[in-house]
Amino acid sequence: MIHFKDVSFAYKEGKWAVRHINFTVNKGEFVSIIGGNGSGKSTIARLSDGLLLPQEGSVFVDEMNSHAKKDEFLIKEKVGVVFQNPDNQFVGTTVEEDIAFGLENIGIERVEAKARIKQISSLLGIDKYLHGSPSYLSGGEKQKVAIASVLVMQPDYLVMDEITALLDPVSRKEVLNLVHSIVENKNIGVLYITHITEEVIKSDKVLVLHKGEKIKEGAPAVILQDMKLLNSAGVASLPSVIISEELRKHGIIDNSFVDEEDLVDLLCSN
Amino acid sequence: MRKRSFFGQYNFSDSLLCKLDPRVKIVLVFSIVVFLFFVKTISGYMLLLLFSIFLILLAKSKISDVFRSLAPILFLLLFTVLFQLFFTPGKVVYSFFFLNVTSEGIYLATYIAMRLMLLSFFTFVLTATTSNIELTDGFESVISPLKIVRFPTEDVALMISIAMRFVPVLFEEATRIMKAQTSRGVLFNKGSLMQRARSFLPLLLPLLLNAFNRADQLAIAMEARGFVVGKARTKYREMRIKKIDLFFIFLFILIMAASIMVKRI
Repeated sequence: MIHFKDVSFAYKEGKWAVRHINFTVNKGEFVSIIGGNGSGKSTIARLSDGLLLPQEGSVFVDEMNSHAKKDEFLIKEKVGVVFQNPDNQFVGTTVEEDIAFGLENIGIERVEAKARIKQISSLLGIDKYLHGSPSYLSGGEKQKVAIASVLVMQPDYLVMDEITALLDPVSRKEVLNLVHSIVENKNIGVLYITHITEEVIKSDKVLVLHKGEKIKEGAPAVILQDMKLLNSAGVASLPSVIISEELRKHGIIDNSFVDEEDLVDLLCSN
Repeated sequence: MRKRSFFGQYNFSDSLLCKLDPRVKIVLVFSIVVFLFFVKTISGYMLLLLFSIFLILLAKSKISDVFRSLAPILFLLLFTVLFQLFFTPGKVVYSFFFLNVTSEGIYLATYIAMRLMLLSFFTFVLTATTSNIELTDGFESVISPLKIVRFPTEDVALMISIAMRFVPVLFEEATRIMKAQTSRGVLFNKGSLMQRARSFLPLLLPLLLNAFNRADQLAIAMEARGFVVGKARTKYREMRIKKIDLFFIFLFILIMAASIMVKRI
Protein backbone atom coordinates (compact mmCIF):
# COMPACT_ATOMS: atom_id res chain seq x y z
CA MET A 1 0.00 0.00 0.00
CA ILE A 2 1.16 3.55 -0.76
CA HIS A 3 0.15 5.63 2.22
CA PHE A 4 0.37 9.43 2.35
CA LYS A 5 0.10 10.40 5.99
CA ASP A 6 -0.46 14.12 6.55
CA VAL A 7 2.12 14.97 3.89
CA SER A 8 3.26 18.54 3.23
CA PHE A 9 5.98 19.63 0.84
CA ALA A 10 7.37 23.00 -0.21
CA TYR A 11 9.92 23.73 -2.97
CA LYS A 12 10.52 27.13 -1.39
CA GLU A 13 10.28 27.80 2.31
CA GLY A 14 6.81 28.94 3.32
CA LYS A 15 5.25 28.20 -0.09
CA TRP A 16 3.57 24.82 0.24
CA ALA A 17 3.19 22.86 -2.98
CA VAL A 18 1.09 20.25 -1.17
CA ARG A 19 -0.38 20.56 2.31
CA HIS A 20 -1.74 17.93 4.74
CA ILE A 21 -2.33 15.26 2.13
CA ASN A 22 -3.79 11.93 3.28
CA PHE A 23 -4.75 9.00 1.07
CA THR A 24 -3.91 5.38 0.32
CA VAL A 25 -3.45 3.30 -2.82
CA ASN A 26 -3.85 -0.45 -2.33
CA LYS A 27 -2.58 -3.16 -4.65
CA GLY A 28 -5.06 -3.70 -7.47
CA GLU A 29 -6.71 -0.34 -6.78
CA PHE A 30 -6.96 2.43 -9.41
CA VAL A 31 -6.83 5.82 -7.69
CA SER A 32 -7.01 9.03 -9.69
CA ILE A 33 -5.96 12.51 -8.73
CA ILE A 34 -7.54 15.37 -10.62
CA GLY A 35 -6.75 19.06 -10.40
CA GLY A 36 -5.80 22.12 -12.39
CA ASN A 37 -2.38 23.65 -13.01
CA GLY A 38 -0.37 24.27 -9.85
CA SER A 39 -2.59 22.04 -7.73
CA GLY A 40 0.34 19.87 -6.62
CA LYS A 41 -0.40 16.78 -8.74
CA SER A 42 3.14 16.28 -10.05
CA THR A 43 4.60 16.91 -6.60
CA ILE A 44 2.50 14.02 -5.28
CA ALA A 45 3.81 11.81 -8.11
CA ARG A 46 7.40 12.59 -7.11
CA LEU A 47 6.69 12.15 -3.41
CA SER A 48 5.17 8.72 -3.97
CA ASP A 49 8.41 6.98 -4.95
CA GLY A 50 10.86 9.00 -2.89
CA LEU A 51 12.04 11.35 -5.64
CA LEU A 52 10.98 14.09 -3.22
CA LEU A 53 10.82 13.71 0.54
CA PRO A 54 8.05 15.41 2.55
CA GLN A 55 9.01 18.17 4.97
CA GLU A 56 6.05 17.24 7.14
CA GLY A 57 4.27 13.90 7.46
CA SER A 58 5.41 10.65 5.85
CA VAL A 59 4.98 8.57 2.72
CA PHE A 60 4.93 4.82 3.27
CA VAL A 61 5.28 2.18 0.58
CA ASP A 62 4.41 -1.25 1.99
CA GLU A 63 5.32 0.01 5.46
CA MET A 64 8.67 1.43 4.25
CA ASN A 65 9.09 5.10 5.03
CA SER A 66 10.48 7.12 2.11
CA HIS A 67 12.65 9.01 4.61
CA ALA A 68 14.56 5.83 5.50
CA LYS A 69 17.79 5.85 3.49
CA LYS A 70 18.06 2.04 3.58
CA ASP A 71 14.71 1.59 1.78
CA GLU A 72 15.31 4.28 -0.84
CA PHE A 73 16.23 1.85 -3.63
CA LEU A 74 13.58 -0.74 -2.69
CA ILE A 75 10.84 1.90 -2.84
CA LYS A 76 11.93 2.86 -6.35
CA GLU A 77 11.77 -0.80 -7.35
CA LYS A 78 8.26 -1.13 -5.96
CA VAL A 79 6.90 2.13 -7.37
CA GLY A 80 7.27 2.84 -11.08
CA VAL A 81 6.67 6.37 -12.34
CA VAL A 82 5.71 7.39 -15.88
CA PHE A 83 5.97 11.10 -16.61
CA GLN A 84 4.19 13.44 -18.99
CA ASN A 85 6.80 13.88 -21.71
CA PRO A 86 8.25 10.57 -22.94
CA ASP A 87 10.97 12.37 -24.93
CA ASN A 88 12.54 13.49 -21.67
CA GLN A 89 12.56 9.96 -20.23
CA PHE A 90 14.36 8.02 -22.94
CA VAL A 91 17.89 6.94 -22.11
CA GLY A 92 18.58 4.29 -24.75
CA THR A 93 19.24 4.93 -28.41
CA THR A 94 16.87 2.10 -29.36
CA VAL A 95 13.53 1.13 -27.85
CA GLU A 96 15.01 -2.17 -26.66
CA GLU A 97 17.94 -0.44 -24.95
CA ASP A 98 15.61 2.01 -23.31
CA ILE A 99 13.34 -0.68 -21.90
CA ALA A 100 16.43 -2.55 -20.69
CA PHE A 101 17.81 0.48 -18.80
CA GLY A 102 15.69 -0.01 -15.67
CA LEU A 103 16.39 -3.76 -15.67
CA GLU A 104 20.14 -3.10 -15.74
CA ASN A 105 19.73 -0.76 -12.78
CA ILE A 106 17.94 -3.34 -10.64
CA GLY A 107 20.41 -6.09 -11.52
CA ILE A 108 18.35 -8.31 -13.85
CA GLU A 109 20.54 -10.67 -15.88
CA ARG A 110 20.51 -10.71 -19.68
CA VAL A 111 18.45 -13.87 -20.26
CA GLU A 112 15.64 -12.81 -17.95
CA ALA A 113 15.81 -9.22 -19.22
CA LYS A 114 15.39 -10.41 -22.82
CA ALA A 115 12.36 -12.52 -21.88
CA ARG A 116 10.76 -9.67 -19.94
CA ILE A 117 11.34 -7.17 -22.78
CA LYS A 118 9.87 -9.57 -25.32
CA GLN A 119 6.79 -10.14 -23.18
CA ILE A 120 6.12 -6.50 -22.29
CA SER A 121 6.75 -5.19 -25.81
CA SER A 122 4.31 -7.65 -27.36
CA LEU A 123 1.76 -6.87 -24.63
CA LEU A 124 1.95 -3.16 -25.46
CA GLY A 125 2.21 -3.73 -29.21
CA ILE A 126 5.61 -2.10 -29.61
CA ASP A 127 7.63 -5.22 -30.45
CA LYS A 128 8.08 -4.10 -34.06
CA TYR A 129 9.86 -0.94 -32.91
CA LEU A 130 12.39 -2.62 -30.60
CA HIS A 131 15.41 -1.97 -32.83
CA GLY A 132 14.41 1.55 -33.88
CA SER A 133 15.05 4.87 -32.19
CA PRO A 134 12.33 5.97 -29.74
CA SER A 135 12.78 9.57 -30.95
CA TYR A 136 11.07 8.83 -34.25
CA LEU A 137 7.90 7.17 -32.93
CA SER A 138 4.50 8.85 -32.73
CA GLY A 139 3.41 10.42 -29.44
CA GLY A 140 1.21 7.45 -28.47
CA GLU A 141 3.90 4.91 -29.32
CA LYS A 142 6.50 6.91 -27.36
CA GLN A 143 4.26 6.88 -24.31
CA LYS A 144 3.76 3.11 -24.71
CA VAL A 145 7.56 2.71 -24.69
CA ALA A 146 7.76 4.84 -21.53
CA ILE A 147 5.08 2.68 -19.88
CA ALA A 148 6.84 -0.51 -21.01
CA SER A 149 10.14 0.78 -19.58
CA VAL A 150 8.51 1.03 -16.18
CA LEU A 151 6.23 -2.05 -16.31
CA VAL A 152 9.15 -4.28 -17.32
CA MET A 153 10.62 -3.69 -13.85
CA GLN A 154 7.48 -5.40 -12.48
CA PRO A 155 6.56 -2.72 -9.94
CA ASP A 156 3.81 -3.28 -7.37
CA TYR A 157 2.56 0.28 -7.87
CA LEU A 158 2.43 2.47 -10.93
CA VAL A 159 2.28 6.26 -10.75
CA MET A 160 1.29 7.98 -13.99
CA ASP A 161 1.73 11.72 -14.10
CA GLU A 162 -0.42 13.23 -16.87
CA ILE A 163 0.77 10.61 -19.35
CA THR A 164 -1.83 11.55 -21.95
CA ALA A 165 -1.44 15.32 -21.73
CA LEU A 166 0.58 15.57 -24.95
CA LEU A 167 -1.48 13.07 -26.95
CA ASP A 168 -4.29 13.53 -29.44
CA PRO A 169 -7.76 12.26 -28.34
CA VAL A 170 -7.46 8.96 -30.24
CA SER A 171 -4.01 8.10 -28.85
CA ARG A 172 -5.14 9.24 -25.40
CA LYS A 173 -8.04 6.81 -25.42
CA GLU A 174 -5.84 4.02 -26.75
CA VAL A 175 -3.14 4.52 -24.09
CA LEU A 176 -5.70 4.80 -21.29
CA ASN A 177 -7.55 1.62 -22.35
CA LEU A 178 -4.23 -0.17 -22.56
CA VAL A 179 -3.28 0.96 -19.06
CA HIS A 180 -6.61 -0.25 -17.65
CA SER A 181 -6.38 -3.63 -19.38
CA ILE A 182 -2.80 -4.21 -18.19
CA VAL A 183 -3.21 -3.21 -14.57
CA GLU A 184 -6.45 -5.19 -14.21
CA ASN A 185 -4.54 -8.38 -15.00
CA LYS A 186 -1.44 -7.63 -12.94
CA ASN A 187 -2.82 -6.63 -9.54
CA ILE A 188 -0.87 -3.36 -9.63
CA GLY A 189 -1.91 -0.38 -7.55
CA VAL A 190 -2.27 2.68 -9.78
CA LEU A 191 -2.04 6.35 -8.93
CA TYR A 192 -3.30 8.09 -12.05
CA ILE A 193 -2.75 11.85 -12.20
CA THR A 194 -4.61 13.94 -14.73
CA HIS A 195 -6.49 17.15 -15.42
CA ILE A 196 -8.80 15.47 -17.94
CA THR A 197 -12.09 14.56 -16.27
CA GLU A 198 -13.04 11.78 -18.73
CA GLU A 199 -9.99 9.80 -17.73
CA VAL A 200 -11.02 9.22 -14.12
CA ILE A 201 -14.44 7.64 -14.83
CA LYS A 202 -13.16 4.05 -14.49
CA SER A 203 -11.19 4.73 -11.28
CA ASP A 204 -11.99 3.11 -7.94
CA LYS A 205 -11.44 6.38 -6.13
CA VAL A 206 -10.89 10.03 -7.11
CA LEU A 207 -9.06 12.75 -5.20
CA VAL A 208 -9.63 16.37 -6.12
CA LEU A 209 -6.73 18.73 -5.52
CA HIS A 210 -6.77 22.50 -5.42
CA LYS A 211 -3.83 24.73 -4.55
CA GLY A 212 -1.96 21.85 -2.94
CA GLU A 213 -4.83 20.67 -0.77
CA LYS A 214 -7.15 17.71 -1.10
CA ILE A 215 -10.62 19.20 -1.29
CA LYS A 216 -12.57 16.00 -1.86
CA GLU A 217 -12.12 12.23 -2.08
CA GLY A 218 -14.74 9.79 -3.25
CA ALA A 219 -16.17 7.50 -5.89
CA PRO A 220 -16.00 8.88 -9.47
CA ALA A 221 -19.81 8.82 -9.81
CA VAL A 222 -20.11 11.19 -6.87
CA ILE A 223 -17.15 13.45 -7.63
CA LEU A 224 -17.87 13.85 -11.34
CA GLN A 225 -21.46 14.94 -10.77
CA ASP A 226 -20.34 17.79 -8.56
CA MET A 227 -19.81 20.50 -11.20
CA LYS A 228 -19.27 23.21 -8.62
CA LEU A 229 -16.46 21.23 -6.99
CA LEU A 230 -14.75 20.53 -10.31
CA ASN A 231 -15.03 24.15 -11.41
CA SER A 232 -13.49 25.32 -8.16
CA ALA A 233 -10.63 22.86 -8.72
CA GLY A 234 -10.03 24.30 -12.19
CA VAL A 235 -11.07 21.25 -14.20
CA ALA A 236 -13.84 20.90 -16.74
CA SER A 237 -16.99 18.94 -15.98
CA LEU A 238 -18.03 16.04 -18.18
CA PRO A 239 -20.23 17.03 -21.14
CA SER A 240 -22.70 14.29 -20.13
CA VAL A 241 -23.04 15.80 -16.64
CA ILE A 242 -23.42 19.36 -18.02
CA ILE A 243 -26.14 18.31 -20.47
CA SER A 244 -28.02 16.07 -18.03
CA GLU A 245 -27.88 18.80 -15.39
CA GLU A 246 -29.50 21.26 -17.81
CA LEU A 247 -32.12 18.68 -18.73
CA ARG A 248 -32.77 18.04 -15.06
CA LYS A 249 -33.24 21.76 -14.40
CA HIS A 250 -35.87 21.81 -17.16
CA GLY A 251 -37.62 18.81 -15.66
CA ILE A 252 -36.90 16.58 -18.64
CA ILE A 253 -34.94 13.97 -16.65
CA ASP A 254 -34.58 13.25 -12.95
CA ASN A 255 -30.88 12.47 -12.55
CA SER A 256 -27.46 13.59 -13.62
CA PHE A 257 -25.42 11.14 -15.72
CA VAL A 258 -21.69 10.54 -15.72
CA ASP A 259 -21.80 7.92 -18.45
CA GLU A 260 -22.87 9.53 -21.73
CA GLU A 261 -24.17 6.22 -23.06
CA ASP A 262 -26.61 5.95 -20.14
CA LEU A 263 -27.83 9.47 -20.91
CA VAL A 264 -28.26 8.68 -24.61
CA ASP A 265 -30.09 5.46 -23.79
CA LEU A 266 -32.49 7.30 -21.48
CA LEU A 267 -33.16 10.09 -23.96
CA CYS A 268 -33.72 7.64 -26.79
CA SER A 269 -36.04 5.46 -24.73
CA ASN A 270 -38.10 8.53 -23.80
CA MET B 1 10.05 5.31 -39.28
CA ARG B 2 13.80 5.66 -39.40
CA LYS B 3 15.29 9.02 -40.25
CA ARG B 4 18.81 9.93 -41.17
CA SER B 5 21.00 10.21 -38.13
CA PHE B 6 22.60 13.57 -37.37
CA PHE B 7 25.50 11.97 -35.58
CA GLY B 8 27.61 9.57 -37.60
CA GLN B 9 25.93 7.61 -40.33
CA TYR B 10 25.14 4.29 -38.69
CA ASN B 11 23.64 2.16 -41.37
CA PHE B 12 21.92 -0.91 -39.91
CA SER B 13 22.73 -3.73 -42.35
CA ASP B 14 23.80 -7.34 -42.43
CA SER B 15 27.33 -6.39 -43.48
CA LEU B 16 30.25 -8.33 -42.06
CA LEU B 17 31.64 -5.21 -40.38
CA CYS B 18 28.36 -4.62 -38.53
CA LYS B 19 28.83 -8.02 -36.90
CA LEU B 20 32.30 -7.27 -35.54
CA ASP B 21 32.80 -6.66 -31.84
CA PRO B 22 32.67 -2.88 -31.24
CA ARG B 23 35.75 -3.02 -29.00
CA VAL B 24 37.76 -4.57 -31.83
CA LYS B 25 36.54 -1.93 -34.28
CA ILE B 26 37.34 0.94 -31.93
CA VAL B 27 40.85 -0.34 -31.15
CA LEU B 28 41.60 -1.14 -34.81
CA VAL B 29 40.39 2.21 -36.14
CA PHE B 30 42.19 4.11 -33.36
CA SER B 31 45.39 2.15 -34.08
CA ILE B 32 45.26 2.74 -37.82
CA VAL B 33 44.52 6.46 -37.34
CA VAL B 34 47.60 6.80 -35.10
CA PHE B 35 49.55 4.64 -37.52
CA LEU B 36 48.76 7.06 -40.40
CA PHE B 37 51.34 9.44 -38.94
CA PHE B 38 54.10 6.86 -39.28
CA VAL B 39 53.58 6.05 -42.96
CA LYS B 40 56.24 7.85 -44.99
CA THR B 41 55.50 6.84 -48.59
CA ILE B 42 52.80 7.68 -51.10
CA SER B 43 52.55 3.99 -52.03
CA GLY B 44 51.93 3.21 -48.36
CA TYR B 45 49.08 5.73 -48.31
CA MET B 46 47.71 4.36 -51.60
CA LEU B 47 47.62 0.88 -50.07
CA LEU B 48 45.74 2.24 -47.04
CA LEU B 49 43.37 4.14 -49.35
CA LEU B 50 42.58 0.94 -51.26
CA PHE B 51 42.07 -0.85 -47.94
CA SER B 52 39.70 1.88 -46.69
CA ILE B 53 37.69 1.65 -49.95
CA PHE B 54 37.54 -2.12 -49.51
CA LEU B 55 36.16 -1.62 -45.98
CA ILE B 56 33.64 0.97 -47.19
CA LEU B 57 32.35 -1.46 -49.81
CA LEU B 58 32.29 -4.25 -47.24
CA ALA B 59 30.23 -1.98 -44.96
CA LYS B 60 27.67 -1.70 -47.82
CA SER B 61 27.94 2.08 -47.66
CA LYS B 62 27.47 4.49 -50.54
CA ILE B 63 30.58 6.27 -51.84
CA SER B 64 28.52 9.50 -51.97
CA ASP B 65 27.95 9.21 -48.21
CA VAL B 66 31.70 8.82 -47.68
CA PHE B 67 32.42 12.04 -49.54
CA ARG B 68 29.62 13.76 -47.65
CA SER B 69 31.43 12.77 -44.47
CA LEU B 70 34.37 14.85 -45.68
CA ALA B 71 32.25 18.03 -45.70
CA PRO B 72 32.93 19.04 -42.08
CA ILE B 73 36.69 18.85 -42.60
CA LEU B 74 36.73 20.23 -46.14
CA PHE B 75 37.76 23.74 -45.05
CA LEU B 76 40.50 22.38 -42.78
CA LEU B 77 41.65 20.05 -45.56
CA LEU B 78 41.83 22.81 -48.20
CA PHE B 79 43.44 25.33 -45.89
CA THR B 80 46.14 22.88 -44.73
CA VAL B 81 46.86 21.60 -48.23
CA LEU B 82 47.11 25.12 -49.74
CA PHE B 83 49.22 26.33 -46.83
CA GLN B 84 51.68 23.46 -47.22
CA LEU B 85 51.66 23.80 -51.02
CA PHE B 86 52.56 27.48 -51.11
CA PHE B 87 54.51 28.10 -47.94
CA THR B 88 56.87 25.11 -47.66
CA PRO B 89 60.43 26.18 -48.48
CA GLY B 90 62.41 24.07 -50.97
CA LYS B 91 63.05 23.58 -54.66
CA VAL B 92 60.63 25.83 -56.59
CA VAL B 93 58.77 24.04 -59.39
CA TYR B 94 56.16 26.71 -60.18
CA SER B 95 55.74 30.41 -59.38
CA PHE B 96 52.53 32.43 -59.25
CA PHE B 97 53.01 36.09 -58.26
CA PHE B 98 54.54 35.94 -54.77
CA LEU B 99 53.49 32.29 -54.23
CA ASN B 100 56.01 29.53 -54.86
CA VAL B 101 55.08 25.88 -55.23
CA THR B 102 57.94 23.68 -54.12
CA SER B 103 58.49 19.96 -54.62
CA GLU B 104 58.68 19.55 -50.83
CA GLY B 105 55.38 21.47 -50.55
CA ILE B 106 53.73 19.11 -53.04
CA TYR B 107 54.93 16.09 -51.02
CA LEU B 108 53.78 17.56 -47.69
CA ALA B 109 50.41 18.70 -49.06
CA THR B 110 49.79 15.26 -50.54
CA TYR B 111 50.75 13.52 -47.28
CA ILE B 112 48.51 15.74 -45.20
CA ALA B 113 45.59 15.45 -47.61
CA MET B 114 45.95 11.66 -47.63
CA ARG B 115 46.18 11.51 -43.83
CA LEU B 116 43.08 13.65 -43.29
CA MET B 117 41.12 11.79 -45.96
CA LEU B 118 42.08 8.38 -44.60
CA LEU B 119 41.32 9.51 -41.05
CA SER B 120 37.87 10.52 -42.23
CA PHE B 121 37.34 7.29 -44.24
CA PHE B 122 38.32 4.95 -41.40
CA THR B 123 36.20 6.78 -38.82
CA PHE B 124 33.36 6.74 -41.36
CA VAL B 125 33.64 2.94 -41.52
CA LEU B 126 33.51 2.78 -37.72
CA THR B 127 30.43 5.01 -37.35
CA ALA B 128 28.66 3.47 -40.37
CA THR B 129 28.93 -0.02 -38.97
CA THR B 130 28.56 0.60 -35.23
CA SER B 131 25.46 1.93 -33.51
CA ASN B 132 25.82 4.65 -30.89
CA ILE B 133 25.04 2.23 -28.11
CA GLU B 134 27.64 -0.27 -29.40
CA LEU B 135 30.17 2.54 -29.62
CA THR B 136 29.41 3.53 -26.05
CA ASP B 137 29.64 -0.04 -24.78
CA GLY B 138 32.83 -0.62 -26.70
CA PHE B 139 34.32 2.62 -25.43
CA GLU B 140 33.34 1.75 -21.86
CA SER B 141 35.01 -1.63 -22.19
CA VAL B 142 38.14 -0.17 -23.79
CA ILE B 143 38.59 2.37 -20.98
CA SER B 144 37.58 -0.12 -18.26
CA PRO B 145 41.20 -0.58 -17.03
CA LEU B 146 40.89 3.00 -15.72
CA LYS B 147 38.57 1.64 -13.04
CA ILE B 148 41.75 0.73 -11.16
CA VAL B 149 42.32 4.44 -10.57
CA ARG B 150 38.61 4.81 -9.65
CA PHE B 151 37.70 6.50 -12.92
CA PRO B 152 33.88 6.21 -13.32
CA THR B 153 34.00 4.45 -16.72
CA GLU B 154 30.34 3.29 -16.67
CA ASP B 155 29.03 6.75 -15.82
CA VAL B 156 31.19 8.39 -18.49
CA ALA B 157 29.98 5.87 -21.08
CA LEU B 158 26.35 6.44 -20.07
CA MET B 159 26.90 10.18 -20.28
CA ILE B 160 28.24 9.86 -23.83
CA SER B 161 25.35 7.58 -24.80
CA ILE B 162 22.76 10.07 -23.50
CA ALA B 163 24.54 12.98 -25.18
CA MET B 164 24.43 11.07 -28.47
CA ARG B 165 20.73 10.35 -28.04
CA PHE B 166 19.97 14.01 -27.44
CA VAL B 167 21.86 15.31 -30.50
CA PRO B 168 18.94 14.75 -32.94
CA VAL B 169 16.44 15.99 -30.33
CA LEU B 170 18.38 19.23 -29.86
CA PHE B 171 18.74 19.67 -33.63
CA GLU B 172 14.98 19.33 -34.02
CA GLU B 173 14.41 21.75 -31.18
CA ALA B 174 16.85 24.28 -32.67
CA THR B 175 15.01 24.06 -36.01
CA ARG B 176 11.68 24.58 -34.25
CA ILE B 177 12.94 27.59 -32.30
CA MET B 178 14.51 29.07 -35.45
CA LYS B 179 11.19 28.80 -37.28
CA ALA B 180 9.33 30.33 -34.34
CA GLN B 181 11.81 33.22 -34.07
CA THR B 182 11.86 33.76 -37.84
CA SER B 183 8.06 34.10 -37.78
CA ARG B 184 8.55 36.81 -35.15
CA GLY B 185 10.90 38.76 -37.37
CA VAL B 186 14.37 37.50 -36.40
CA LEU B 187 16.67 37.39 -39.43
CA PHE B 188 19.34 34.75 -38.97
CA ASN B 189 21.16 35.18 -42.28
CA LYS B 190 21.05 38.90 -42.97
CA GLY B 191 23.12 41.85 -41.88
CA SER B 192 26.75 42.19 -40.86
CA LEU B 193 28.71 39.46 -39.08
CA MET B 194 28.04 41.16 -35.74
CA GLN B 195 24.31 41.45 -36.46
CA ARG B 196 24.16 37.81 -37.49
CA ALA B 197 25.97 36.73 -34.35
CA ARG B 198 23.58 38.80 -32.25
CA SER B 199 20.54 37.33 -34.04
CA PHE B 200 21.53 33.88 -32.75
CA LEU B 201 20.86 34.92 -29.15
CA PRO B 202 17.08 34.37 -29.48
CA LEU B 203 17.93 30.85 -30.64
CA LEU B 204 20.61 29.97 -28.11
CA LEU B 205 18.87 31.22 -24.97
CA PRO B 206 15.66 29.16 -25.30
CA LEU B 207 17.68 26.21 -26.60
CA LEU B 208 19.93 26.27 -23.53
CA LEU B 209 17.01 26.73 -21.13
CA ASN B 210 15.14 23.83 -22.74
CA ALA B 211 18.27 21.68 -22.63
CA PHE B 212 18.68 22.31 -18.89
CA ASN B 213 14.99 21.56 -18.36
CA ARG B 214 15.29 18.32 -20.34
CA ALA B 215 18.41 17.32 -18.42
CA ASP B 216 16.57 17.90 -15.14
CA GLN B 217 13.57 15.82 -16.22
CA LEU B 218 15.80 13.06 -17.59
CA ALA B 219 17.71 12.89 -14.31
CA ILE B 220 14.42 12.50 -12.41
CA ALA B 221 13.19 9.80 -14.83
CA MET B 222 16.50 7.93 -14.54
CA GLU B 223 16.38 8.05 -10.76
CA ALA B 224 12.78 6.83 -10.84
CA ARG B 225 13.98 3.83 -12.85
CA GLY B 226 16.49 2.87 -10.19
CA PHE B 227 19.62 4.55 -11.51
CA VAL B 228 22.11 5.43 -8.80
CA VAL B 229 25.47 7.00 -9.71
CA GLY B 230 28.28 4.58 -9.00
CA LYS B 231 26.01 1.60 -8.26
CA ALA B 232 26.85 -1.64 -10.08
CA ARG B 233 24.53 -2.45 -12.98
CA THR B 234 24.05 -5.59 -15.04
CA LYS B 235 24.79 -5.48 -18.78
CA TYR B 236 22.00 -6.13 -21.25
CA ARG B 237 24.20 -6.14 -24.34
CA GLU B 238 26.60 -8.95 -24.94
CA MET B 239 30.07 -8.44 -26.39
CA ARG B 240 32.06 -11.46 -27.50
CA ILE B 241 35.19 -11.67 -29.61
CA LYS B 242 34.62 -14.15 -32.44
CA LYS B 243 36.79 -15.73 -35.14
CA ILE B 244 35.85 -13.01 -37.60
CA ASP B 245 37.16 -10.39 -35.14
CA LEU B 246 40.49 -12.21 -34.95
CA PHE B 247 40.62 -12.36 -38.76
CA PHE B 248 40.17 -8.58 -39.01
CA ILE B 249 42.80 -7.96 -36.33
CA PHE B 250 45.21 -10.05 -38.41
CA LEU B 251 44.17 -8.25 -41.63
CA PHE B 252 44.72 -4.79 -40.11
CA ILE B 253 48.17 -5.78 -38.79
CA LEU B 254 49.05 -7.18 -42.21
CA ILE B 255 47.94 -4.03 -44.05
CA MET B 256 49.73 -1.75 -41.60
CA ALA B 257 52.95 -3.75 -41.91
CA ALA B 258 52.67 -3.79 -45.72
CA SER B 259 52.09 -0.01 -45.90
CA ILE B 260 55.29 0.55 -43.92
CA MET B 261 57.36 -1.90 -45.92
CA VAL B 262 56.08 -0.97 -49.37
CA LYS B 263 58.83 0.53 -51.58
CA ARG B 264 59.21 4.29 -51.36
CA ILE B 265 58.30 6.09 -54.59
